[in-house]
Amino acid sequence: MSVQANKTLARRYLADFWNRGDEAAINEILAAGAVGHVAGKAFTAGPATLLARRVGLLSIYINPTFTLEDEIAAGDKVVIRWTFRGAHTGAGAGVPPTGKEVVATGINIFRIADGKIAELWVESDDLGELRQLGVIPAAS
Amino acid sequence: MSHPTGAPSTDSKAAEQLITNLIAAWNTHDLDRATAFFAADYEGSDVAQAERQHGRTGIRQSLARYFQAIPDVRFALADLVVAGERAVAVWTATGTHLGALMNIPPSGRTVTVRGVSTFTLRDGEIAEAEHIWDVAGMLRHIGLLPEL
Repeated sequence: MSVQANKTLARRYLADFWNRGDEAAINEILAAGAVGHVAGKAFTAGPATLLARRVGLLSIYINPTFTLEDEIAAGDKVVIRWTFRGAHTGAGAGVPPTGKEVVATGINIFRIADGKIAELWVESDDLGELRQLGVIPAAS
Repeated sequence: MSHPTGAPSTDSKAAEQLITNLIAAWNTHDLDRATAFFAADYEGSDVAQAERQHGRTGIRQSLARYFQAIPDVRFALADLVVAGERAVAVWTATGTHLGALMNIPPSGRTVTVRGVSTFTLRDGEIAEAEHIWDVAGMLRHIGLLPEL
């Protein structure tokens, strides 16, 4: 696949799936047996897993939105940097909702194979998010 | 603006070499060597720092903080994605927490963290960079956050 086509997969991952919850889209762009790497752990990250994760996100935030800030692509890899914004109105994180907007940044790296996302790595500001949610104390 | 020595503008192979050399320079813990890769008008961000870094002074201060906190830090490149003047380095850093870091007193623990750095190169120098690394993971190694 062309670098341009690979970039489109990454853009759709954010815009169609994470922002709009488009189930048909995630099945199109993500391989069923895709592998994900988050916080040093590898796991099966196919459409079913990600759909469940999105449900989890919606249990914490109203209108969670990922904004594409940057993209770099070469060969079979696409890298995107994003900013996440969501209003903390749900109890899904195990703490009382603050009602405030949470903002966090992160980077995803995708490996594309056979026209789909086959593997993905996520590095994001987990600490910043946990602090804003009140799961851990704010910086001293 | 062309490079003062007349060197050609960055292409992918040169960019790859530059980033590889940068990681090697980080591993020498020599601030002069590490800072030399950055443009005089460098602009950068680091997920663990509230303020952005400006110029060579800014990146020097940022690196100095990490080198004093983890004096034996060793960076390894896990992946490198380069497209012309844009580059992404995926790295791991391992070392011993022997100096204060982010207001955390030295724990003496070995920490390993993953990070991703995105770069914009210009005339053979780093003009911009954004560093996102696993701060929560480091705190877990130190024992300040529960394991996942």
